[in-house]
Order: sequence, then structure tokens, then C-alpha cells
Amino acid sequence: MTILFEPLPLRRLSCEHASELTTRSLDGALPFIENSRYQIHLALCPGCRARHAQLKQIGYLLRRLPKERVRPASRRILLEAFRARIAHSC
Amino acid sequence: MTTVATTYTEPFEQRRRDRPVRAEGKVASGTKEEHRLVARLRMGDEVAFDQLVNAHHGALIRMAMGYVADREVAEEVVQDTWVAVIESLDRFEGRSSLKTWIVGILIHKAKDRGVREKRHTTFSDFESRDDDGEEAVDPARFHQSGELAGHWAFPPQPWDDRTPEKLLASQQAIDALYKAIDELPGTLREVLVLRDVEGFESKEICDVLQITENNLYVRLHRARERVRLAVEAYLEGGQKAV
Repeated sequence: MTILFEPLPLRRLSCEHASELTTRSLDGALPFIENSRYQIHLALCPGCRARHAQLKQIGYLLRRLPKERVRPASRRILLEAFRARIAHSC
Repeated sequence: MTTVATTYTEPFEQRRRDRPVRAEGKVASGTKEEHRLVARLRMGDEVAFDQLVNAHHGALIRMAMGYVADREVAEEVVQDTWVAVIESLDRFEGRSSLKTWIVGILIHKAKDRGVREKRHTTFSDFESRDDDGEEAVDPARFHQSGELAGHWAFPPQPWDDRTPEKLLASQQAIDALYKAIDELPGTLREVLVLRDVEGFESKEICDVLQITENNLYVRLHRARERVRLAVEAYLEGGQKAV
């Protein structure tokens, strides 16, 4: 049922609903009103605040994961292909 | 490795703002750095090519594995992709970013290889799974009834602020993270790799994967939550020293 006359940002958000908004909020893809409701919920809810912070840390982690080394055999094949293309175009 | 006769032009026309150069050989889309990189590649600069391969090879393999049988085939698909990149470099006009162009070639080749291997099971899984139905967070972690329905019954416990640095300093933790990424279904893995590991903009991902923004965020949310759960399990599994 739609609750009339209640300002949207103050409408109560469940943790279950809030948990679905985290990624969009972190990526700046949540509309202003929705994000305001989400932020208010975070301010009041330690569990959701912890999860939000964890997902932020996951993003940080993934961006900084060290690259796996390219297999030497693959690297050699690719460099040879690159040289061959350059030699061919000259 | 097969010789590739196909040439590739960019499918997407996008204007790009200047963005900062990323670390580890990565170059931000549409910047002067990217133009310089393309020029160096065309001139036959092996160092530039080597850096480009090192920066993206692992991510391309993870993406390819969503379409083909195993790691070995994925490695071949990625090698074919690089060869196609080399051979089509002169036709790259900069209308999309270089990495979007490369990923577009990879997806084309991986799909083609997947079909040729008649991996219909994987394909149908890839197309249908994880786009709907399942919740990102296990509903059992919330109260199911009463006044607190929908609120945490088992709330996450905060991590130390230095948790990411501690994890990144441990090879065991890095292996666990890569394992968590590898265990994601293909549809979730590819968006996570593109967005979080490769740093693509959401628009670029929607274009290259031909999905809606809503679809992207549903997948990304589930993928990040699964990685979060893996890290949570890792931290709780007697790895407190990490």
C-alpha cells in the first residue's frame, strides 16, 4: 500500500531492501532520493553500515589485485606475432 | 594458434573525457596516453605491446573461461585475440576505447570457439543463469517475521580498516580472491572483471556485453556479494593473522 504524505527519504527501508542498493550507491548509480533513503538507513543501521564498508573494501581490493604473470610460452608467441606483423608492414 | 584473417573495427561511437592514467600498464580510455600507446604499437614498440598484454591478459582469460571448456582453450582464445588485435591495429580509429575494442574481439572469438566446441550446455547456462530469481544476500540472514521482518538477524561484522592492505600482502589471500572470482558463473564473472578489475565504465560494459544498465547492476551486485562472502569466510576461517 502506498503511504501518502510521508516524505520519501524518511520512509522506512528494511535491511533486506537496503542490501540490494549497495552496489548502485557505491557506483553512483542510485537516484538522489533513493540514495538519500539509503544513506539515512546506513546512519541508523550498524549491520548495513558494516556491509556497505565491506563492499567498498572489496572494490578497493579488486582494483589492486596483482596481475597474474602471462605464461612465458604465450608471451613468446605473442611477441613473435607482433614482430612478424611489424616486419610484414615495413 | 590460428592465423586470423578477420579484421575488427570499433562497434561503438563514444566521446570520452580525459581520465587519469591507471597503474600497471593500464591506460585510461580516450586519453592522450591511449593515443600515444596506439601510436607506439603501430610503430612496432615491443615494450608497449608487452605492457598491454601484461595489463589485460589475465582478465581476458577469466572472461573467455565463461564461454569455453577450460583454461587451456581460454588461453588459446586470448592468444587469437591478441593476434587479431595486432593484425587489425591499423583499423582502430579510437571511436571506442582500446580496451573496449579488445574485449569486443575477445567476446566474438570466445563465443565462436564455444559454439564450435558445441558447448551448448555452458552456453544455455551462460545465457539464462543469474539474471533473476536468486537474492544477492541469503534471506536467512534477515528476520523473516515479526516487527523486525526484513532487518538483520545475523548482521555482518565490521572489518578492520586495514583489511584490504593485509589481504593484498598475503599470497594466500590473493589466491583465495582469485579462486572466488573463478568460481563465479560466467555472467557474474565477466561484469566483475570488467568493472572492478579492469576499471571499465558502466556504459562501456553495457555496450560491449549488450546488456541493460539494470542487468549490469543486478549481476555486479551478486558478483561482489559472493566475493564479499568468500572474504568473510576466509577471515573467519582461522585466517585472523592475515
